[in-house]
Parts: sequence; structure tokens; C-alpha cells
Amino acid sequence: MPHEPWEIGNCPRSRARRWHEAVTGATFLLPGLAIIFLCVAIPGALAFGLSFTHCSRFLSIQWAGLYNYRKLLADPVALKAFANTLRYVAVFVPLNLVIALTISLLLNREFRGMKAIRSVYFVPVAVSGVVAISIFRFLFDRDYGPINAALGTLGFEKVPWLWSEHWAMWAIIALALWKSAAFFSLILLAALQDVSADLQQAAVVDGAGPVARFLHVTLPSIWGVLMTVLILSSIGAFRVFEPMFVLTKGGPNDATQTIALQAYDTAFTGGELGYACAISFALLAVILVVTAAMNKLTALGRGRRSVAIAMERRRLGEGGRRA
Amino acid sequence: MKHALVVLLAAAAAFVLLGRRGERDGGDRRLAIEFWTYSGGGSADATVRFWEKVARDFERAHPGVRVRAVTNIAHGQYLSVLTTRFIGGNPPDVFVLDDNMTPDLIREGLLLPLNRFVAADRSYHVADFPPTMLRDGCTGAVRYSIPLYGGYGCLFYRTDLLAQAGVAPPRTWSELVAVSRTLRVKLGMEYPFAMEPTAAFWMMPFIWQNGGDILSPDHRRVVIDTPPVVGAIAFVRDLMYRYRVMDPSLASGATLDALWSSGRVAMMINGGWSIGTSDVNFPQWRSRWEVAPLPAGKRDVGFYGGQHLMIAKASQHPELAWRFMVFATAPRRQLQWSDITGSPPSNLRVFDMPAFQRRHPHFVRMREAMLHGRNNPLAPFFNKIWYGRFQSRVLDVVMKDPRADIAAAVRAAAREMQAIVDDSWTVHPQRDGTTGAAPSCPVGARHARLLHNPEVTGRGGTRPLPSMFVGVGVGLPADPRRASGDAAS
Repeated sequence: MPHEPWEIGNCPRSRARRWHEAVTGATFLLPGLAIIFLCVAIPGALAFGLSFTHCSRFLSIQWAGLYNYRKLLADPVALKAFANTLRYVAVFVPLNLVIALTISLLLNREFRGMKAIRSVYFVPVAVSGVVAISIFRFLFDRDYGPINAALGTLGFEKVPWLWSEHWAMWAIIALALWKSAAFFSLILLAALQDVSADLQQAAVVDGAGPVARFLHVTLPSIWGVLMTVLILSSIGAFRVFEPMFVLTKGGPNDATQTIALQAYDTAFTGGELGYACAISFALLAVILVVTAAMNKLTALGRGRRSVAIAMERRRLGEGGRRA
Repeated sequence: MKHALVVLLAAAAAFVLLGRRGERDGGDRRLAIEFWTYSGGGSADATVRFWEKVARDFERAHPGVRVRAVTNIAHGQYLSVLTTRFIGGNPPDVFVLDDNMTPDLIREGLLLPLNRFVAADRSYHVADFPPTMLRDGCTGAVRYSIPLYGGYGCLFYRTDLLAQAGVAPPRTWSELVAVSRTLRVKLGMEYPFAMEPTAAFWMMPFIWQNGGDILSPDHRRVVIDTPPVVGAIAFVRDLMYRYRVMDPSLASGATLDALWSSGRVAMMINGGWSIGTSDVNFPQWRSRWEVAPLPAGKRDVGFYGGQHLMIAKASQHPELAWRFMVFATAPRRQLQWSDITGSPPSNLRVFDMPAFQRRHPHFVRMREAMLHGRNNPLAPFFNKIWYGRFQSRVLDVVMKDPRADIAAAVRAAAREMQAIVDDSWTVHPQRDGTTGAAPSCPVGARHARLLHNPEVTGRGGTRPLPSMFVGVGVGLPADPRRASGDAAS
């Protein structure tokens, strides 16, 4: 007796293969998902729950409702930490992006000794965070640091870099830029090397100068990577902790107290785990809002890039037909 | 092949398991206690050497007992690591802890009360220990810890420079200024005196000496917004900007060690814990320095507080843990403590030992600091309000700027500190067992009078004494209860 013709993809062998593929895929994903679940999702959920409790360092817990969040809004130290963090992000992120982009543009050229310079330049990436901090602690030392020695030679007074409310954060930003710009320039360099040479050459033929080529060809081409760098840099900046913890402990007078350091102090020095969790989730909320805004910016840029490239290609096509 | 592999794996697993089981027992049927302390790190650290020696000596004196001493945890991580063990239900039997860390453990009910051990053990005499530390180990009538080591502040001075200038070490604030000025004039020293002006720790004795205080006796009110506190802060700042006897760069990162080492200062305030290592760190001044009590203000009171020994409530061997604590704080062991670590002992009987008097004359000279020193309030929120808010809001600001309004800074800091105190009381309204209750543990008649002096303790007290030193002298009267020699060792 003839049977119904099988639809393509619906025959038992095809379904069985798809099922097999799905199971195989899930099996490979399972360890990673398990780690994410155990190390991220569960602790995150527990921490979120703890933020609504009074929890001591010995895990004695009592329900607190929104007490910790109300306390956060009235805590002058925490609010100052938020302000310091926003100030740090506002200064560090654009500078980081500009410096990383400038370096990657310079390194994108071919010149003698380029490989050697690239290797030397990436040393900050290889140096560990604590080592870098120790180096900068010496550089900014008030009595023995080379920076003050140089200033003294030029006739200026010694600056108490890490002891000054005004200069401490700038010193830390300098350290962070030194460490971070090299890393992000590596990413941007890879993106620059992916920019279509045809578009560049076409722009040159059309008489576009270097600035115009950068603005209308290079920038749109690397926009996605640039936005990724911006987002990663911003998230890292919001979570900045190490330099402040090692160099200044948030001082002087809370001038370098950041929200991540505040959460750490609250949890491990103050023993207030519930409040520390509330601070951490408040920071998470801020990061999510900022990241969402940046994603929007990325999408707009992508649209602009698509339009720019499409227009350039149409023009090339017309030029070719005219020729 | 596959068969052989399975057999091999099974054999390896059996080997590991049996081996681990053997390791757990150690083939060792001795009763074991675990002891913890923190150190500066590394086996070369003197504290590590002391405790390893104490552990071995205790084992020799108590056959059938094993002491597992964990001595290399860095101070910064100690409380976190200890907390983890408590949370895991597996704390050490006996451990060392700073006095300002104990309120948290007392509040959580994690410490074993020691009253019954103190009452029953004839070899342990509370009166052998400084009154302030005895009081710090008490909450109400419950004793939770016994003193191990206390630190105090002292005035280090260069004997050669002061002799050259023809001055004696200052005993009061006004003498401090006068002596410093004399040194500047006669020896040409720009800034003869040094201390850490932005360290909240060192501001405490100045505040107490000027008649001020930090918290009310019940630990509910911040009481720094008073003229004596403002006056004390102003005096320290005036040393830099008005009297010009102290280098203002000390408020901006200059270090005491650098100034003392270079010989640019003739006097400095530092901790008694530096006495034992001074000749090692500054060999150029060997035999050319001495220590004296802190110059006194309106009152003659310094800082004294430090480390205590305590037993976890979850300990399976509390009796043995108590024996270990008594063993470690006996006079002979405390002499070894000073010999090995270079830190002052807490057992006052050590001061009667000729060997101690010969080897540690500086500690002998500072004995009075142990007897009339006082400690900061032991409240769970103290570190946060004092080393957090007060240091950053007041000292970090006013010490760098001679024009900054001290009273305004103190007022603003007091408001923030009070908010933290109120918050702590809101979260832990009944469980903060360290506050309010005046300690009433037995401390020995000898010390009772000192403890009732409000000028010493700042709290309680019904019979103010005219002098801190009444009834206190070098050498202790014989105790008829005591067996001959050092019974504990």
C-alpha cells in the first residue's frame, strides 16, 4: 500500500537527526551553562535576596524589606562613591577610547621597527594589575617619586598626588589609562586591519583627505567594534576597584571612594552583607541603564554605517559605469 | 588493556583513600586542639616562631595532646578566614583576636564564657593582667577572653640630642612645645617632633587627655562635638602650623620612619610594638634613644589595648583550650613572648623577673602605660565611625589645611557618625551585648580601684581617685593562693 509522501525535513530520519544534533549541542553546552548557573545565576539570586535583609558577616539574617535601599539613598558616603564613580567613568572612558584609537591608528601603518614597537607597547597589557599599581605608587610617591623629582627640577613644588583630594583620582585615572588603552588598542587595531582597502582607495581617488577618510570610511567601518570597546570600557570603569583599594583605600576624605570599593568595605570591613548587596545591585542597575543606552547608540551607528557604505558602493558603481 | 586500566585506577583510588585516612588519624590517637593566630606572614615571622614553640612546649608538658597551630594567616585576611570557619561550623578551638573584632563574635554568641574556668583554675590570676585589658574581655558579668598582648603609645626620643640641648623628655603638652622649640633653637632642627597627625588612632589619647571622649558610656551617642575634642585636634594641628615644631608634610604622606631614620626629628610618638625592633630597623641610633610615657594634657591617660585569647563555643575540648591559653600567658611564656617578638608582655608578673628587667628595660619603663591606659570603645560600629568617618571627614581635611574650621568638620562628622550608630542600634536593638553593661567580672582587688576611676575608663565609676597611681607600684604583693613557681608551665 503506498504511503503518504514525506515532507522534506519531516521524515523520521531527519527528525531523529535533528533530535540527535540538539542533544549533542545541549551536551556540549551543559558544562558551560552549569558553571554559569552555579557561579553566576544562583549567587546573583541569593545576593539579590540578601539585599532585602540585614545579614551579618556570620550569616545571621533578618528581613529588612527596602531598608537597605532607603539607607543607600540617604548614605552620604555611598552617594559620594556613586558620584566619584560617575566622574571616573565620564573622564576615563572617553580618554581611554581616544588614546586607544589614536595608538591603533598609528600602529596600523607599516614602518620600520613596527613589530618591535608593537611588542613594547603591549607590555602594560602583560603586566599584572598589582604590579602596575606598585609601579605607579612609586612614580607618584611624594618624596621619592620621579614625577615629583622632575617637577622639582623644573622649579615646581612637590605634589602630594595620592594624598591630595584633588589629584588622587587623576593619578588613578593615569594608571588606569596606561593599563587599559594598550589592551583596547589591540582590539581596535584588529578592527582597523579589517577595513576594506577598496573603500579607502576609492575615497583617495575621490580626493578625500585623511580626516574625511577617517570620518566617512574608517569610523563607520569600525563602529561596531568601537561601540563594543566603549561598552566594555564603561563596564570596567563602573566596576573599578583595584587601584583605589591598593593605593588610596578610597581616601583622602573619600575622594577616590568608588561604589565597588564601598560595597567591599561594607561587606568585609563593616560586616553588613545585606547592605553591601543592595549597593552592588544599585550599581548593576546603573550599568544596565548605561549599557542599554550604548547599545542604542551602537544600533544607530550601524544604521549610519550601512547607509554610508551603501552610498559609497552605489557611487563607485555609477563611476565605474560612467567610465 | 581496559581491564588493567580499571584495576590500576581502583588501586590508585584505594591507595589515596587509605593514605588520607591514615593522614587524618596520623596513626595519631592524641587529643587535638586547633589554635589560630595571625602574623606578618612567612615562617620567619617572630610571632610564628613564638607560637610554634608554645605549641611544642605544651605538647611536651601534656603528653597525649596535639596542638595544631595555624600561625601564618595575614592580619588583613584573618577575620575573613576565621569567619568562614565559623560559618562552616568548624572554628578553631582557641584563637587570638584583636579586641575591636570581638564585639561581632560576642553579639553572634560564638564565644565560650570563661567565668567557670577563671573561678576554678587556681593557677590563673586575673590580677596578674592589666585592668584595661581585663575589662575589655568582659561584657557585663561574662568574661569572654583573657589578655594576651597589649599595645600602648609612647614618646620615642633621642637621648643624645636632648642631652645636647640640655632638656628632659616632655611630660606635658606645654613641655612638648617648649622642648621642641628649644631643640629647634639650640640644635637647628627645623621640626624636632613627629607623629601621624591624620591617624585617628593617635588622636584618641589626645582627646582623652583633654577631657573629651568619643561615645557615651552606653555607646548610643557620639560625643565628639565638644570643646575638649576640638581643642585636642587643634593642639595637634597647631604643632604643625602655629608652633611649627612638626613637619606639615606628615599630613600629606611623609612617614615617621623616614624622618626618624634620617635623624631629622628628635622625638616621635609611636607604638610600644616598635620598641623591640627599633635597634634592628634603626641601628644607627642604637643606645641613643629611649621611651617615655605620652606627654599629658589635662589628664594623664594613654592608649592601651590589643589582642586577646578566646575559645569558640563550638570547641569540642574547651578544658584543653583553656589550659593552652593559661600556658601561653604564664610569666615564663610571656618572657619568651618579649624575647622572641620584641613586643611588651601582658602578664605583670614578668616585670618582676630579673631576666626581663635586664633584657627589656624599655618595657619596664613603660609599665605604667599598661596600668593607666585605656582602650577605645569596643562597639561593633567603632571602626566604621572612627577610622572611617572621623578620619576622613575631620583629620584628612583639617590637618592639611590650617584654615579649615575644626569645629565645623567635627560637627559634620558627628552627624554622620551618629547616623551609623543609630543604624547599628536599629538593626541590632537587643543583641549588641557589648554596650551599656559596665563590666563586672572579677578583676582582683588590686585593679578594682583603677577600674572605678572614670578618668581611666571614661565610663562608670563611683569613687574618683585623686591619682592614677594610688595603690600601684612596681612589684606585686605575694598572693597566698599561689603555688610556688609557675604552676601553669
